[in-house]
Amino acid sequence: MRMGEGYKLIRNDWVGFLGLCLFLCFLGISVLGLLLTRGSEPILDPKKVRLHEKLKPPMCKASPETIANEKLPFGRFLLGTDDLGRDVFARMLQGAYVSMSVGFVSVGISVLIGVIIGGISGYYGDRNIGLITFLSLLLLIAGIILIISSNRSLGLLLSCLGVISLLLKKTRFLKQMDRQFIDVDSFIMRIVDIMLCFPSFFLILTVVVVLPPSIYNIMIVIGVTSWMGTARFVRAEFLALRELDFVKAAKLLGLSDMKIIFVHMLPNAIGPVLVSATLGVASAILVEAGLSFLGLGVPPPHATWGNILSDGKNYLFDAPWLTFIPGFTIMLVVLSFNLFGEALRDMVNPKLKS
Amino acid sequence: MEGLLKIKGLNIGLRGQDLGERPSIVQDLHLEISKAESVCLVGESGCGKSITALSIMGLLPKGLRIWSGKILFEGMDLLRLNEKELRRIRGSEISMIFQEPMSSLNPVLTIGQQLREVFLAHLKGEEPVHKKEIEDRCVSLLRDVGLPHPKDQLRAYPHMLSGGQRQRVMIAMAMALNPKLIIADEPTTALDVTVQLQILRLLKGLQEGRECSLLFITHDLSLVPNVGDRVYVMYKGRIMEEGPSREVVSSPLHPYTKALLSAIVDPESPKGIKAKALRTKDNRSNSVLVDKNAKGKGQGCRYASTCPSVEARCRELEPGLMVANDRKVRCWLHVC
Repeated sequence: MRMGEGYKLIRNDWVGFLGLCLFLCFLGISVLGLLLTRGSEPILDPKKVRLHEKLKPPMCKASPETIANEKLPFGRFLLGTDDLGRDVFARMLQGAYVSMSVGFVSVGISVLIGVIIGGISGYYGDRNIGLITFLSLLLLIAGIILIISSNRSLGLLLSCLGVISLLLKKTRFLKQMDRQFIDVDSFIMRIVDIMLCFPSFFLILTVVVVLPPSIYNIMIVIGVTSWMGTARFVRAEFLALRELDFVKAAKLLGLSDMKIIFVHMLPNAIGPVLVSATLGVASAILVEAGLSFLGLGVPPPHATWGNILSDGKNYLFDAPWLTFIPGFTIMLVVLSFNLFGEALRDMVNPKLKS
Repeated sequence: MEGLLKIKGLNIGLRGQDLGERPSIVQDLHLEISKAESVCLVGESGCGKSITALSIMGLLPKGLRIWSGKILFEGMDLLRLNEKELRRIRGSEISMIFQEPMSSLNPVLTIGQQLREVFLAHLKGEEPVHKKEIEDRCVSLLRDVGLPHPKDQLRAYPHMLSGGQRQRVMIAMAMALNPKLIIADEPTTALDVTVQLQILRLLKGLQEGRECSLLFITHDLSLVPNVGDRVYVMYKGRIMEEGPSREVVSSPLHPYTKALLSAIVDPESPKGIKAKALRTKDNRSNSVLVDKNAKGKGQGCRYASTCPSVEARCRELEPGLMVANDRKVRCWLHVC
C-alpha cells in the first residue's frame, strides 16, 4: 500500500479522518506530556503538592505566590487541581504517556503472539501430533509456566524432561508409542479455549498481585492475556485462505512456507486483525485505567488516567472535574481508536483503491 | 526424441481405501512427454486429469494417496524427493497454470510483487541479483505475454485486470524461470471464447519459442489439434486412447473418444447445433466415486455401462492397451 492512496481514501471518509486526527493528536500529546513532565525539575510538575490550592476548578487563576514560584500556562490551572493541590493538567499529561504506551506495547505483544499462534494453527492445522510429542509439549509448557512463577527448580526439571523426550521420540521404542493423537489445530485451539475460560480481568489482577508493580509488568501481562481473539481471527482467515487458488499457485511456484504465510496470506488476513488491534488498544487503556482505579496499576506518585479517576471519586460532588476529565479523555481516545480502526480496515483493502 | 517426463504405472486412490480394491482415482497410468513436445490430456470432469497434474507437482489433496508408480522427471523420481527438493523444482523446472485466473492471483499484492516473489524464491542461492535487474526481467516477461504497458501493469492490483490479462500474468509467472515443463490445467476454460484462442496461441508460441514441454489438460477435444502433438484420452482414471492428436481427432478408435468428439458444437455444420450430450446412464455415473460397476464386479471395462457398442466380454474383462504403430487404444473392438 502506498501512502498517497491511503491518504486519499481516508480523506473521503470523514469519520475515519476525524479518528485519525484525534489519534495523532493524542499521540502528540502523550509525547509532549513525557517531555514536559519528566526529570527532577519538570516544566509542569505533576507531583508538586500545594495544600492551599486544593480542589480548584478548571481555568481557575492560581494565587499570586504560586505564579511567582512556578511557571503555569497563562497563570491558571487549566484543568483545576486535586485534593492535594496537584495540577490536574500536568497529571493528565504525565498519564497520557503511560496510557498510550500501555495500549500500544500490550497490543503489540498480543497481536504478535496471536498472529504466530493463529497462523500455525490455521496453516499447519491438520498435521498430527503424536502422543509422546503431545505429552512432552505439555511438560515443556508446564515447566515454562513454573519457571515464570518463580518455582525455578521444578520448572527446569519439567522443561528438561520435555526437551529430552522430544529429542528421544525418534528412537524405535518411543516411535511405536508416538501414534497420531491430536492435530495441531485442535491442540492450539483447546489451549486458546482454556485461556478464554479465565475471566481475563481477574487473571490480570492475580498476576499483577503476584508480580512487583511496574508499568512494564502491566504491559506484558495485558499482552499475554489478550492474544486469544487475534489468534482465532487469524486462524479462521488462514483456514479459508489456505484452500484458495493463489496459495496453491504460490506453492506451485516453489515458495517456502514462511514466504506463503507472511507475504501471501498474512496481508489478506490483516484487515480484521488491525481492527481488533485498534479495539485492543482501547480496551488495554481501559484495563490499565481499571487496574489503577483499583490501586493495582502503576505505583502512586506517578499519575495515570486511571488513578486520577480513582482519586477523584471521593470528591465526585465537590469536584466533579476530577472524574469527568480523565473519564472523557479515556472515552475520546477509545472512540478515536475505534473510528480509525474502521477506516484502517478499508485502507488495507486494495479493491477500494481506484 | 528424448524423454523429459515419464509416468509409469501410477495408481492413486483414496486414503481409507482397502489395498485389495482397485484404485478409484487414477489407475495404472502411463504417460510420456518428450523435450519440447506438447501433450494433451483430455477427459470429462472427474476423470483424474487434474489429480494426475497435481501428483506430478507433489501437491495431492490430503484425502488421496499414491499407491504405486513412478514419476520420472529427467530420470529422477519425483515421488521420492523430500519437500525441500520438490520446492526447488516447482516453479523453476516444472510450473503450472490454473484454470481460474480470477482466484489464482493474490488480491492484495501487485502484479510486480507477485512476479518478483518467483525470482526471489529461486535465485537466492546464486549470485546476488539486483532489484533493477529483476524489475527489468519482470517487464520483459509481461511484454512477452503481450500485456500492454508492462511497466505500469507491474504496479496494478489483480482486480484491475481482466480475466484474459490475469491469465497472461499467470503464464508470465509460470514462464518466469524458463521451466522445462509447463502444466496447463484447463487454462482457457474460465475465459471468453475469443480470448481463449489468444491465450492458446500465446501459450503455444511461448512453448515453441522457449523449447519447453507442455502438458495441456482440457475437456475440450476441439482444442487438441491446435495445441498438442500427442493426446491422451482419459476416462474414469484410465487412459483409453493415445496417439498423435490429428489422427486421434480425425479417426478416433475408442467409442468414448468418438462420443467426446460428437459432443463438440460445430457452428459451421448444420448438424453441429444438435450436438449430442455425452451419454451417461444417470447424472451420477460420470463421477468416479459412485461408479457402481467398478465397485461391485470390479473387472469390466469402465466405459461398458455407457458404451454404445458394448459386448458381453466388455462387462467381464477390462481390455489392455492395444498398440498399433504410434497409437494405443483400450477397447475390445480393436483386438485382432
